Amino acid sequence: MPLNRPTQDELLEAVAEYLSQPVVDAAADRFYRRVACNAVELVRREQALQSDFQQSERQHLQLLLNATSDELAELNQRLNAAIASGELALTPALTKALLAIAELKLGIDNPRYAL
Amino acid sequence: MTPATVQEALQPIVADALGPECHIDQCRRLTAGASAATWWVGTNQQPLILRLEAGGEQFGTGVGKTVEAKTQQAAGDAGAPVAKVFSILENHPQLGNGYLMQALGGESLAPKILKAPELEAVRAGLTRQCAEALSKIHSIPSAELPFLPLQDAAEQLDSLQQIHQSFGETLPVFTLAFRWLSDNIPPCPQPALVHGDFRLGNFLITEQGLNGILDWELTHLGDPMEDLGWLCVRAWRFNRPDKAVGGFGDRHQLIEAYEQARGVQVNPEHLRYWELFGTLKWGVICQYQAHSHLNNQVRSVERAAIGRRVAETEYDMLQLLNAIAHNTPAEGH
Repeated sequence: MPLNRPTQDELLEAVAEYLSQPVVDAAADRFYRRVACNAVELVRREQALQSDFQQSERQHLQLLLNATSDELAELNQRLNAAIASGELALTPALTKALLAIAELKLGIDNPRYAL
Repeated sequence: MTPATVQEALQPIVADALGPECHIDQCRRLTAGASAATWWVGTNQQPLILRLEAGGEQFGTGVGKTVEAKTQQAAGDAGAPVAKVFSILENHPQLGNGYLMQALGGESLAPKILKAPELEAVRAGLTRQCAEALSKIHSIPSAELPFLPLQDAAEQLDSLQQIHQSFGETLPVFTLAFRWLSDNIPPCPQPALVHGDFRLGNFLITEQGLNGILDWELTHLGDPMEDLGWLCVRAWRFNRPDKAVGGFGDRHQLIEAYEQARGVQVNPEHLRYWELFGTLKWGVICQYQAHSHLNNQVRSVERAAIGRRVAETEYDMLQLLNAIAHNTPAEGH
Protein backbone atom coordinates (compact mmCIF):
# COMPACT_ATOMS: atom_id res chain seq x y z
CA MET A 1 0.00 0.00 0.00
CA PRO A 2 2.50 2.59 -1.17
CA LEU A 3 2.16 6.31 -0.51
CA ASN A 4 0.20 7.91 -3.32
CA ARG A 5 0.97 10.49 -5.97
CA PRO A 6 1.65 13.37 -5.77
CA THR A 7 5.03 12.51 -4.23
CA GLN A 8 6.39 14.89 -1.60
CA ASP A 9 8.44 16.65 -4.26
CA GLU A 10 5.40 17.02 -6.52
CA LEU A 11 3.41 18.43 -3.58
CA LEU A 12 6.09 21.02 -2.79
CA GLU A 13 6.24 21.94 -6.46
CA ALA A 14 2.47 22.56 -6.46
CA VAL A 15 2.78 24.71 -3.31
CA ALA A 16 5.63 26.75 -4.79
CA GLU A 17 3.68 27.20 -7.99
CA TYR A 18 0.69 28.55 -6.09
CA LEU A 19 2.77 30.91 -3.93
CA SER A 20 4.48 32.34 -6.99
CA GLN A 21 1.11 33.05 -8.59
CA PRO A 22 -1.63 33.38 -5.93
CA VAL A 23 -5.21 34.23 -6.89
CA VAL A 24 -6.37 37.81 -6.42
CA ASP A 25 -9.60 37.12 -4.52
CA ALA A 26 -8.83 37.30 -0.78
CA ALA A 27 -11.24 34.57 0.36
CA ALA A 28 -10.07 32.17 -2.35
CA ASP A 29 -6.44 32.99 -1.49
CA ARG A 30 -7.08 32.16 2.18
CA PHE A 31 -8.53 28.80 1.11
CA TYR A 32 -5.62 27.91 -1.20
CA ARG A 33 -3.07 29.02 1.41
CA ARG A 34 -4.63 26.67 3.93
CA VAL A 35 -4.49 23.85 1.37
CA ALA A 36 -0.84 24.70 0.63
CA CYS A 37 0.01 24.86 4.33
CA ASN A 38 -1.59 21.45 4.95
CA ALA A 39 0.40 20.02 2.03
CA VAL A 40 3.66 21.28 3.56
CA GLU A 41 2.68 19.76 6.93
CA LEU A 42 1.97 16.46 5.16
CA VAL A 43 5.43 16.51 3.58
CA ARG A 44 7.01 17.17 7.00
CA ARG A 45 5.16 14.17 8.47
CA GLU A 46 6.21 12.04 5.52
CA GLN A 47 9.86 12.95 6.04
CA ALA A 48 9.64 12.12 9.73
CA LEU A 49 7.62 8.89 9.44
CA GLN A 50 8.38 7.47 6.03
CA SER A 51 11.11 5.03 6.99
CA ASP A 52 9.13 3.60 9.95
CA PHE A 53 6.07 3.29 7.75
CA GLN A 54 7.96 1.46 5.04
CA GLN A 55 9.58 -0.89 7.53
CA SER A 56 6.19 -1.90 8.95
CA GLU A 57 4.69 -2.19 5.48
CA ARG A 58 7.59 -4.47 4.46
CA GLN A 59 7.08 -6.73 7.49
CA HIS A 60 3.32 -7.03 6.97
CA LEU A 61 3.70 -7.81 3.27
CA GLN A 62 6.48 -10.36 3.79
CA LEU A 63 4.29 -12.13 6.31
CA LEU A 64 1.17 -12.02 4.12
CA LEU A 65 3.01 -13.27 1.04
CA ASN A 66 5.41 -15.57 2.82
CA ALA A 67 8.15 -13.73 0.95
CA THR A 68 11.69 -12.66 1.77
CA SER A 69 12.15 -9.84 -0.76
CA ASP A 70 13.02 -6.45 0.74
CA GLU A 71 11.77 -4.54 -2.29
CA LEU A 72 8.53 -2.75 -1.40
CA ALA A 73 7.54 -2.13 -5.00
CA GLU A 74 7.99 -5.82 -5.79
CA LEU A 75 6.08 -6.89 -2.67
CA ASN A 76 3.18 -4.60 -3.56
CA GLN A 77 3.14 -5.89 -7.14
CA ARG A 78 2.99 -9.45 -5.84
CA LEU A 79 0.24 -8.61 -3.34
CA ASN A 80 -1.71 -6.90 -6.08
CA ALA A 81 -1.35 -9.85 -8.45
CA ALA A 82 -2.33 -12.35 -5.73
CA ILE A 83 -5.49 -10.34 -4.94
CA ALA A 84 -6.39 -9.86 -8.60
CA SER A 85 -6.03 -13.58 -9.37
CA GLY A 86 -8.00 -14.62 -6.28
CA GLU A 87 -5.00 -16.48 -4.86
CA LEU A 88 -5.33 -14.19 -1.81
CA ALA A 89 -9.03 -14.22 -0.96
CA LEU A 90 -10.89 -11.74 1.22
CA THR A 91 -10.19 -13.07 4.72
CA PRO A 92 -9.96 -11.50 8.18
CA ALA A 93 -6.20 -12.11 8.13
CA LEU A 94 -5.81 -10.13 4.90
CA THR A 95 -7.99 -7.19 5.97
CA LYS A 96 -6.34 -7.07 9.40
CA ALA A 97 -2.86 -6.73 7.90
CA LEU A 98 -3.98 -4.19 5.31
CA LEU A 99 -5.86 -2.16 7.93
CA ALA A 100 -2.72 -1.99 10.05
CA ILE A 101 -0.80 -0.58 7.07
CA ALA A 102 -3.67 1.79 6.18
CA GLU A 103 -3.66 3.24 9.71
CA LEU A 104 0.08 3.86 9.61
CA LYS A 105 -0.28 5.46 6.19
CA LEU A 106 -2.98 7.80 7.56
CA GLY A 107 -0.45 8.84 10.19
CA ILE A 108 1.31 10.56 7.29
CA ASP A 109 -1.61 11.59 5.05
CA ASN A 110 -4.23 12.62 7.61
CA PRO A 111 -3.51 11.72 11.25
CA ARG A 112 -6.90 12.94 12.49
CA TYR A 113 -8.85 10.63 10.20
CA ALA A 114 -8.79 7.14 11.73
CA LEU A 115 -11.84 6.37 13.86
CA MET B 1 -18.78 35.07 -21.94
CA THR B 2 -19.56 38.50 -20.48
CA PRO B 3 -22.65 39.32 -18.39
CA ALA B 4 -23.82 41.67 -21.17
CA THR B 5 -23.66 38.89 -23.79
CA VAL B 6 -25.63 36.54 -21.55
CA GLN B 7 -28.23 39.19 -20.73
CA GLU B 8 -28.77 40.13 -24.37
CA ALA B 9 -29.03 36.53 -25.57
CA LEU B 10 -31.23 35.48 -22.67
CA GLN B 11 -33.80 38.33 -22.66
CA PRO B 12 -35.97 36.91 -25.50
CA ILE B 13 -35.87 33.47 -23.87
CA VAL B 14 -36.97 34.91 -20.53
CA ALA B 15 -39.77 36.88 -22.20
CA ASP B 16 -40.89 33.76 -24.00
CA ALA B 17 -40.92 31.62 -20.85
CA LEU B 18 -42.23 34.11 -18.28
CA GLY B 19 -44.09 36.71 -20.35
CA PRO B 20 -43.08 39.82 -22.31
CA GLU B 21 -43.19 42.00 -19.19
CA CYS B 22 -40.38 40.00 -17.55
CA HIS B 23 -37.09 41.91 -17.82
CA ILE B 24 -33.59 40.89 -16.81
CA ASP B 25 -31.86 43.52 -14.69
CA GLN B 26 -28.72 41.61 -13.74
CA CYS B 27 -26.58 38.65 -14.82
CA ARG B 28 -23.78 37.41 -12.58
CA ARG B 29 -21.62 34.31 -12.93
CA LEU B 30 -21.79 32.23 -9.75
CA THR B 31 -19.36 29.38 -10.23
CA ALA B 32 -16.69 28.39 -12.65
CA GLY B 33 -17.24 24.65 -12.41
CA ALA B 34 -15.39 22.42 -14.82
CA SER B 35 -18.48 20.99 -16.47
CA ALA B 36 -20.99 23.79 -16.05
CA ALA B 37 -21.18 27.56 -15.82
CA THR B 38 -23.89 28.78 -13.47
CA TRP B 39 -25.34 32.28 -13.82
CA TRP B 40 -27.55 34.21 -11.44
CA VAL B 41 -30.20 36.07 -13.42
CA GLY B 42 -32.12 38.85 -11.66
CA THR B 43 -35.44 39.95 -13.18
CA ASN B 44 -38.25 42.32 -12.22
CA GLN B 45 -40.36 39.22 -11.35
CA GLN B 46 -38.27 36.45 -9.81
CA PRO B 47 -34.62 35.40 -9.65
CA LEU B 48 -33.53 32.72 -12.12
CA ILE B 49 -30.57 30.40 -12.59
CA LEU B 50 -28.98 29.66 -15.93
CA ARG B 51 -26.82 26.55 -16.27
CA LEU B 52 -24.63 26.34 -19.35
CA GLU B 53 -22.34 23.62 -20.62
CA ALA B 54 -18.77 24.77 -20.02
CA GLY B 55 -17.11 22.23 -22.28
CA GLY B 56 -14.33 21.62 -19.76
CA GLU B 57 -13.00 18.33 -18.48
CA GLN B 58 -14.86 16.40 -15.81
CA PHE B 59 -14.83 13.00 -14.19
CA GLY B 60 -16.96 10.42 -15.93
CA THR B 61 -19.38 11.22 -18.68
CA GLY B 62 -22.01 13.76 -17.70
CA VAL B 63 -25.29 13.47 -19.58
CA GLY B 64 -25.20 16.97 -21.08
CA LYS B 65 -27.25 19.96 -20.05
CA THR B 66 -30.42 19.27 -22.05
CA VAL B 67 -30.77 15.72 -20.70
CA GLU B 68 -29.93 17.04 -17.21
CA ALA B 69 -32.79 19.53 -17.52
CA LYS B 70 -35.30 16.95 -18.77
CA THR B 71 -34.41 14.63 -15.90
CA GLN B 72 -34.74 17.42 -13.36
CA GLN B 73 -38.19 18.19 -14.81
CA ALA B 74 -39.23 14.55 -14.52
CA ALA B 75 -38.07 14.48 -10.88
CA GLY B 76 -40.05 17.64 -10.18
CA ASP B 77 -43.16 16.16 -11.82
CA ALA B 78 -42.77 13.15 -9.53
CA GLY B 79 -42.84 15.44 -6.49
CA ALA B 80 -39.13 15.64 -5.62
CA PRO B 81 -37.94 19.07 -4.44
CA VAL B 82 -36.15 20.53 -7.47
CA ALA B 83 -36.14 23.89 -9.21
CA LYS B 84 -38.78 24.30 -11.89
CA VAL B 85 -37.22 24.34 -15.37
CA PHE B 86 -38.56 27.23 -17.52
CA SER B 87 -36.64 26.76 -20.72
CA ILE B 88 -34.18 24.30 -22.28
CA LEU B 89 -31.57 25.68 -24.67
CA GLU B 90 -30.34 23.43 -27.44
CA ASN B 91 -27.46 24.64 -29.59
CA HIS B 92 -28.28 28.28 -28.92
CA PRO B 93 -26.00 30.38 -31.19
CA GLN B 94 -24.52 32.40 -28.29
CA LEU B 95 -25.25 30.29 -25.22
CA GLY B 96 -24.94 26.72 -26.52
CA ASN B 97 -26.65 24.00 -24.48
CA GLY B 98 -28.18 24.81 -21.13
CA TYR B 99 -31.34 25.52 -19.23
CA LEU B 100 -33.08 28.26 -17.34
CA MET B 101 -34.71 27.48 -14.00
CA GLN B 102 -36.20 28.93 -10.86
CA ALA B 103 -33.68 30.13 -8.24
CA LEU B 104 -34.45 28.23 -5.03
CA GLY B 105 -33.40 29.51 -1.63
CA GLY B 106 -31.40 27.68 0.97
CA GLU B 107 -27.93 26.88 2.27
CA SER B 108 -25.77 24.47 0.26
CA LEU B 109 -22.49 24.54 2.21
CA ALA B 110 -22.21 21.23 4.08
CA PRO B 111 -20.23 22.44 7.15
CA LYS B 112 -22.82 25.19 7.75
CA ILE B 113 -25.74 22.78 7.35
CA LEU B 114 -24.15 20.37 9.82
CA LYS B 115 -23.37 23.08 12.39
CA ALA B 116 -25.93 25.91 12.23
CA PRO B 117 -27.95 25.93 15.52
CA GLU B 118 -31.07 27.16 13.70
CA LEU B 119 -30.98 24.00 11.52
CA GLU B 120 -30.95 21.52 14.40
CA ALA B 121 -34.57 20.47 13.92
CA VAL B 122 -34.00 20.24 10.18
CA ARG B 123 -31.04 17.90 10.69
CA ALA B 124 -33.18 15.64 12.85
CA GLY B 125 -35.69 15.18 10.02
CA LEU B 126 -33.31 15.29 7.08
CA THR B 127 -32.71 11.53 6.79
CA ARG B 128 -36.44 10.98 6.38
CA GLN B 129 -36.72 13.82 3.85
CA CYS B 130 -33.83 12.38 1.84
CA ALA B 131 -35.42 8.92 1.88
CA GLU B 132 -38.77 10.35 0.74
CA ALA B 133 -37.18 12.40 -2.05
CA LEU B 134 -35.17 9.38 -3.23
CA SER B 135 -38.29 7.23 -3.15
CA LYS B 136 -40.04 9.69 -5.49
CA ILE B 137 -37.03 9.88 -7.82
CA HIS B 138 -36.61 6.10 -7.92
CA SER B 139 -40.31 5.48 -8.60
CA ILE B 140 -40.35 7.27 -11.96
CA PRO B 141 -40.86 4.57 -14.63
CA SER B 142 -37.62 4.30 -16.60
CA ALA B 143 -39.67 4.15 -19.81
CA GLU B 144 -40.32 7.87 -19.26
CA LEU B 145 -36.58 8.52 -19.42
CA PRO B 146 -35.47 6.89 -22.70
CA PHE B 147 -32.77 9.55 -23.14
CA LEU B 148 -30.78 8.32 -20.11
CA PRO B 149 -27.92 5.80 -20.29
CA LEU B 150 -28.08 2.58 -18.27
CA GLN B 151 -25.11 2.50 -15.88
CA ASP B 152 -25.40 -0.54 -13.66
CA ALA B 153 -22.74 -1.80 -11.27
CA ALA B 154 -20.96 -3.93 -13.89
CA GLU B 155 -20.80 -1.13 -16.43
CA GLN B 156 -19.52 1.42 -13.90
CA LEU B 157 -16.95 -0.96 -12.40
CA ASP B 158 -15.58 -1.53 -15.86
CA SER B 159 -15.15 2.15 -16.61
CA LEU B 160 -13.83 2.98 -13.11
CA GLN B 161 -11.23 0.22 -13.42
CA GLN B 162 -10.07 1.54 -16.78
CA ILE B 163 -9.71 5.06 -15.37
CA HIS B 164 -7.93 3.75 -12.27
CA GLN B 165 -5.49 1.65 -14.28
CA SER B 166 -4.67 4.56 -16.58
CA PHE B 167 -2.99 6.30 -13.61
CA GLY B 168 -0.42 3.52 -13.31
CA GLU B 169 -0.37 3.32 -9.49
CA THR B 170 -0.45 -0.21 -8.07
CA LEU B 171 -2.90 -0.01 -5.16
CA PRO B 172 -3.74 -3.46 -3.71
CA VAL B 173 -6.70 -2.15 -1.69
CA PHE B 174 -8.33 -0.80 -4.85
CA THR B 175 -7.71 -4.15 -6.53
CA LEU B 176 -9.31 -5.96 -3.57
CA ALA B 177 -12.38 -3.71 -3.70
CA PHE B 178 -12.73 -4.03 -7.49
CA ARG B 179 -12.44 -7.80 -7.20
CA TRP B 180 -15.01 -8.15 -4.41
CA LEU B 181 -17.47 -5.69 -5.97
CA SER B 182 -17.25 -7.47 -9.33
CA ASP B 183 -17.77 -10.89 -7.73
CA ASN B 184 -20.73 -9.77 -5.60
CA ILE B 185 -22.95 -7.55 -7.77
CA PRO B 186 -26.42 -7.60 -6.18
CA PRO B 187 -29.36 -8.38 -8.45
CA CYS B 188 -31.21 -5.31 -9.70
CA PRO B 189 -34.34 -6.51 -11.49
CA GLN B 190 -35.68 -3.01 -12.08
CA PRO B 191 -33.25 -0.24 -13.02
CA ALA B 192 -34.47 3.13 -11.73
CA LEU B 193 -33.67 6.79 -12.16
CA VAL B 194 -30.50 7.41 -10.11
CA HIS B 195 -29.47 10.98 -9.24
CA GLY B 196 -25.83 9.94 -9.14
CA ASP B 197 -24.48 12.60 -6.75
CA PHE B 198 -27.08 12.71 -3.94
CA ARG B 199 -25.29 14.25 -0.91
CA LEU B 200 -24.72 17.42 1.10
CA GLY B 201 -23.25 20.02 -1.22
CA ASN B 202 -25.97 19.26 -3.75
CA PHE B 203 -28.86 20.05 -1.38
CA LEU B 204 -30.45 23.42 -0.66
CA ILE B 205 -31.52 23.48 2.98
CA THR B 206 -33.86 26.01 4.56
CA GLU B 207 -35.37 26.05 8.04
CA GLN B 208 -38.21 24.02 6.50
CA GLY B 209 -35.80 21.31 5.39
CA LEU B 210 -34.76 19.92 2.00
CA ASN B 211 -35.77 22.66 -0.43
CA GLY B 212 -33.89 21.62 -3.53
CA ILE B 213 -31.80 18.82 -5.04
CA LEU B 214 -29.14 20.24 -7.34
CA ASP B 215 -26.66 19.03 -9.88
CA TRP B 216 -28.24 16.32 -12.01
CA GLU B 217 -25.27 15.98 -14.35
CA LEU B 218 -24.31 12.43 -13.27
CA THR B 219 -27.86 11.10 -13.48
CA HIS B 220 -28.46 7.73 -15.16
CA LEU B 221 -30.55 4.58 -14.97
CA GLY B 222 -29.21 1.99 -12.55
CA ASP B 223 -29.57 0.37 -9.15
CA PRO B 224 -31.50 2.77 -6.87
CA MET B 225 -29.41 1.61 -3.89
CA GLU B 226 -26.50 3.45 -5.51
CA ASP B 227 -27.96 6.78 -4.31
CA LEU B 228 -28.43 5.53 -0.73
CA GLY B 229 -24.93 4.05 -0.60
CA TRP B 230 -23.32 7.23 -1.98
CA LEU B 231 -25.10 9.26 0.71
CA CYS B 232 -23.33 7.10 3.34
CA VAL B 233 -19.78 7.44 1.92
CA ARG B 234 -17.61 8.90 4.66
CA ALA B 235 -16.30 11.77 2.49
CA TRP B 236 -19.85 13.23 2.51
CA ARG B 237 -20.12 13.16 6.30
CA PHE B 238 -17.68 16.08 6.47
CA ASN B 239 -16.87 16.79 10.13
CA ARG B 240 -19.44 14.26 11.45
CA PRO B 241 -18.01 10.81 10.63
CA ASP B 242 -20.12 9.32 13.45
CA LYS B 243 -23.31 10.08 11.51
CA ALA B 244 -23.21 7.58 8.64
CA VAL B 245 -25.93 9.17 6.55
CA GLY B 246 -24.52 12.40 5.17
CA GLY B 247 -23.17 13.52 8.57
CA PHE B 248 -26.70 13.82 9.99
CA GLY B 249 -28.39 10.40 10.22
CA ASP B 250 -28.07 6.69 10.85
CA ARG B 251 -28.26 3.87 8.33
CA HIS B 252 -31.18 2.13 10.02
CA GLN B 253 -33.19 5.39 9.96
CA LEU B 254 -32.45 5.77 6.25
CA ILE B 255 -33.46 2.18 5.49
CA GLU B 256 -36.63 2.38 7.56
CA ALA B 257 -37.76 5.70 6.06
CA TYR B 258 -37.00 4.53 2.51
CA GLU B 259 -38.86 1.24 3.02
CA GLN B 260 -41.89 3.14 4.34
CA ALA B 261 -41.86 5.71 1.55
CA ARG B 262 -41.31 3.29 -1.31
CA GLY B 263 -43.00 0.17 0.01
CA VAL B 264 -40.02 -2.08 -0.66
CA GLN B 265 -37.65 -4.12 1.49
CA VAL B 266 -34.04 -2.94 1.69
CA ASN B 267 -31.32 -5.46 2.37
CA PRO B 268 -28.67 -3.74 4.54
CA GLU B 269 -25.96 -5.79 2.79
CA HIS B 270 -27.16 -4.30 -0.49
CA LEU B 271 -26.72 -0.82 0.99
CA ARG B 272 -23.24 -1.75 2.26
CA TYR B 273 -22.31 -2.96 -1.24
CA TRP B 274 -23.10 0.49 -2.64
CA GLU B 275 -21.36 2.29 0.23
CA LEU B 276 -18.19 0.34 -0.60
CA PHE B 277 -18.78 1.01 -4.30
CA GLY B 278 -19.17 4.74 -3.62
CA THR B 279 -16.03 4.81 -1.49
CA LEU B 280 -14.06 3.16 -4.30
CA LYS B 281 -15.53 5.63 -6.78
CA TRP B 282 -14.55 8.58 -4.57
CA GLY B 283 -11.05 7.09 -4.35
CA VAL B 284 -10.79 7.00 -8.15
CA ILE B 285 -12.12 10.59 -8.29
CA CYS B 286 -9.35 11.67 -5.85
CA GLN B 287 -6.79 10.02 -8.12
CA TYR B 288 -8.39 11.65 -11.15
CA GLN B 289 -8.13 15.11 -9.58
CA ALA B 290 -4.49 14.63 -8.65
CA HIS B 291 -3.56 13.30 -12.06
CA SER B 292 -5.34 16.12 -13.87
CA HIS B 293 -2.85 18.34 -11.99
CA LEU B 294 0.11 16.02 -12.57
CA ASN B 295 -0.50 15.72 -16.31
CA ASN B 296 -0.89 19.52 -16.57
CA GLN B 297 -4.55 19.49 -17.59
CA VAL B 298 -5.48 21.70 -14.62
CA ARG B 299 -2.53 22.85 -12.49
CA SER B 300 -3.88 23.38 -8.97
CA VAL B 301 -2.50 22.92 -5.47
CA GLU B 302 -6.00 21.88 -4.36
CA ARG B 303 -6.17 19.09 -6.92
CA ALA B 304 -2.66 17.99 -6.06
CA ALA B 305 -3.53 17.75 -2.36
CA ILE B 306 -6.67 15.69 -3.05
CA GLY B 307 -4.43 12.93 -4.39
CA ARG B 308 -3.24 12.24 -0.87
CA ARG B 309 -6.83 11.72 0.31
CA VAL B 310 -6.65 8.32 -1.40
CA ALA B 311 -5.27 7.04 1.93
CA GLU B 312 -8.61 7.94 3.56
CA THR B 313 -10.54 5.96 0.98
CA GLU B 314 -8.27 2.92 1.41
CA TYR B 315 -8.93 3.01 5.15
CA ASP B 316 -12.70 3.36 4.60
CA MET B 317 -12.78 0.53 2.05
CA LEU B 318 -10.84 -1.70 4.43
CA GLN B 319 -13.24 -0.99 7.30
CA LEU B 320 -16.11 -2.19 5.12
CA LEU B 321 -14.17 -5.11 3.62
CA ASN B 322 -13.05 -6.14 7.10
CA ALA B 323 -16.67 -6.33 8.28
CA ILE B 324 -17.55 -8.34 5.17
CA ALA B 325 -14.60 -10.72 5.73
CA HIS B 326 -15.82 -11.28 9.30
CA ASN B 327 -19.40 -11.90 8.10
CA THR B 328 -20.50 -9.06 10.36
CA PRO B 329 -24.12 -8.19 9.46
CA ALA B 330 -24.39 -4.76 7.86
CA GLU B 331 -25.82 -2.01 10.05
CA GLY B 332 -29.55 -1.53 9.53
CA HIS B 333 -30.97 -4.97 10.29
